[in-house]
Amino acid sequence: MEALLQGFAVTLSLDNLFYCFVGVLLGTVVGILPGLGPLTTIAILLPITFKMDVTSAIIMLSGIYYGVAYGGTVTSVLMRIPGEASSVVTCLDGYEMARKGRAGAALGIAGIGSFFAGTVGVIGISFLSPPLAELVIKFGPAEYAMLMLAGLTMVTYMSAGSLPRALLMAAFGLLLGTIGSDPMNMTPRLTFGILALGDGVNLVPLAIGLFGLSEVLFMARQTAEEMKILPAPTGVLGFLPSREEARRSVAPVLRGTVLGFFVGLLPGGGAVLASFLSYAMERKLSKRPEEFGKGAVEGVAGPESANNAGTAGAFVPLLCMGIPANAITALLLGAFIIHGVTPGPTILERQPQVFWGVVASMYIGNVMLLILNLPMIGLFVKILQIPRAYLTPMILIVCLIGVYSSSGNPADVLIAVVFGFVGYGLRRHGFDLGIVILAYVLGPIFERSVRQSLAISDGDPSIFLHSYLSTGFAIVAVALLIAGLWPKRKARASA
Amino acid sequence: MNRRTVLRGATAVAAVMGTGPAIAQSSKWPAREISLINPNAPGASTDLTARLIAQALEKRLNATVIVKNVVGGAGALGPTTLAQSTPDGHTFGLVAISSHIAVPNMMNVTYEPWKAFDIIGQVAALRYGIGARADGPIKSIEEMIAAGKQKQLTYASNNVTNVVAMFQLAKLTGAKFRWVVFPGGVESVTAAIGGHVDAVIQTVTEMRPQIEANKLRFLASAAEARWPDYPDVKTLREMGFNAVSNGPFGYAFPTGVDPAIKERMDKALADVMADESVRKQITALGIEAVYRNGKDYAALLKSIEVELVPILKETGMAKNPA
Repeated sequence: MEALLQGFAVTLSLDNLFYCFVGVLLGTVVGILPGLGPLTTIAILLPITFKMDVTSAIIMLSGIYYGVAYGGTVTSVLMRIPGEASSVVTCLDGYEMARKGRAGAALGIAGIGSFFAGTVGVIGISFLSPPLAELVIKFGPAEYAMLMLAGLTMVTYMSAGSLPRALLMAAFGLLLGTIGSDPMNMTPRLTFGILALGDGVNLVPLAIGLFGLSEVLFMARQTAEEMKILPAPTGVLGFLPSREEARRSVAPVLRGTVLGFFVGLLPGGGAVLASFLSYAMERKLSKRPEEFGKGAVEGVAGPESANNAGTAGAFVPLLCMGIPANAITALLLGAFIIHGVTPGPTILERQPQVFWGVVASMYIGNVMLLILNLPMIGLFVKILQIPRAYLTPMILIVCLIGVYSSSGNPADVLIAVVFGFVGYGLRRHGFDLGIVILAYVLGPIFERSVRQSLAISDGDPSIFLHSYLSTGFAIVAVALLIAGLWPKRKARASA
Repeated sequence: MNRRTVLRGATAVAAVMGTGPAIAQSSKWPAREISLINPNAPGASTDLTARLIAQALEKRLNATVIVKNVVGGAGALGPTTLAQSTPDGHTFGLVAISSHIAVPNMMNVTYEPWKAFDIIGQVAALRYGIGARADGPIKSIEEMIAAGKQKQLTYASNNVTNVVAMFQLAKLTGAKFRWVVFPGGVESVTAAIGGHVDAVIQTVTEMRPQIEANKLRFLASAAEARWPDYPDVKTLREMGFNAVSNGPFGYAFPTGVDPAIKERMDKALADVMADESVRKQITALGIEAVYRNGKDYAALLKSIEVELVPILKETGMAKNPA
């Protein structure tokens, strides 16, 4: 506690407050712009920080990282373009809320949920870091395999439609995930000799194609009357959710925060996975599952909290173990090392001012983000008043630029366009696109960890039950599967 | 030549090079910004090195040097893009074991590795080491080999370049070591300290935090020399095993650059690598600052090819298995 107060003393210097502000501001902007991600931004800014004080540099770069989870929501809700990978799932219900004139409320809930989850996440970092970090290394391939299996059974909860249709989409997502390099011997697989597919289909072109571009195609086909989006209130307090919406959001925010934080701890987990699992969970637990996909506020509140908590969670193994959970924290690790800080169990002894300074800056950064984001909502929702005839081509351009800037690879633009048509076709026939993405995200991690496990055990499948953790996840997976199939049958019988 | 072809040519060049039409003249080089193509993601040690080198080259060439991360195609996209770029001296990029040996042997690429590039020089070498869980049963290389003769041991690593020493060690001693592929270096180290695999072979950068924290036991340097930060830990060669993993990387132009430009670039890079502050910054990343000129670097890569190709075939990674 005393150490944390000292951390605040470090952060509250004028310099560090300034760099914290610059960081979260950049993070928000980067989050709003589809395609331009925190990875690229931090890499570009890294050389600039060489001359800066260590703590200031880390405070700024961290600010970009956790600021992104705030900004990513905006385009998801307003245009059905995921601003960031962690906001893909928000496209499903956030955009539908916007169509009903609740864009401000969706963004407001997301902002408040983000603030709550971000702050709770930082509290988690402050008080639970060392024990949680120990948990992380308990996760070997077998544990991952069973955890991913449990995640994959979530597909049965993701869809309101029929189970065979959901499984069909899951299979499609899994198939997409197998494109690229074989995870064990790294030879190209299902690439049809196309070099650009060597690393597989990337998430950004896939998500922007399936969600953003397919929406453009829908708009192009609809008459002006059909595609009307109700204007959102734009007053100063227009972002306030109604009493009913607020009441329905409380539990999803709490659940999303806890789930997101723990998923964020895991290497390979992070904000993307957290948001999807939260969405699936809310859909399962909701008393009104039929509203999901049609503008359920829970489908925004849960995932948007989960991705912020996940972002915070990822800091625990990074700071305490020197283990980055994803590409962005890996880059932050690089930044630490360049500045002469070695994250890991020794950081608390050797450089406590860096550790606590960064943690304290995250409390302050989250407050800044809330103050920064809420008043902007009124401005953002004005976008919806732009006549559709102009907005549609704008969305198209934002999508294409977003895809290109994510990788600088023109082939990705082509891939996005292909998936735009695929997504349009699937949506016209009532298939659920969220499932495709969930299976696409989980499938490759599942495959890799299964094959790693079997390589370790020399082909003996009992390795999947070799620890309490993996056995526990296996039981959860079976239980989820049974629970997922059960009520549906009952509902059908009663209907 | 009619106007349209001229225009098309200009846009094609502009599309490849970034901005504006290219004028390839040695008298006026650099005429604009120079791009450095890196096939690895931002934050990788090659990327951080590239950014250091780019900054240092800027002063010497009087031009902006931009690092472009051309990531994708399982590492093939970067060298392919470099090979296809206009050889006017405004594009150069990373060449290493991946571009010259691993990628061309594992997938069908459009470039010929030993013909497509005009190598400028080597700038660094990754330093590899072998480690095992600190509180585990393996306390030395000898114990690891003895255990590997009893039953098959597993080790983690993320790249075929890293594992050469382990394959050689297995061949020399008859011990059985099984490589478990992990997607990243830090994941490999984490798997070892968690006891999910018996050992790990990775670079200093990835192993050091856990060695410092007493979670990972540093068994041997798999590089040519000992690690300067751990002078007590011997190399495999010093222990009597002729096994080593090499991780050199450097830069090249696409073939066909004006020799006068090439010479100026060679000089600039040699000068950068003679700069003590640059070497210090590279070393701080946990990699070795090593300079070799173009010819020597090409010869080094050739010698590594002889070692690596049989391993690619043995593991089923090569596109044309033996």
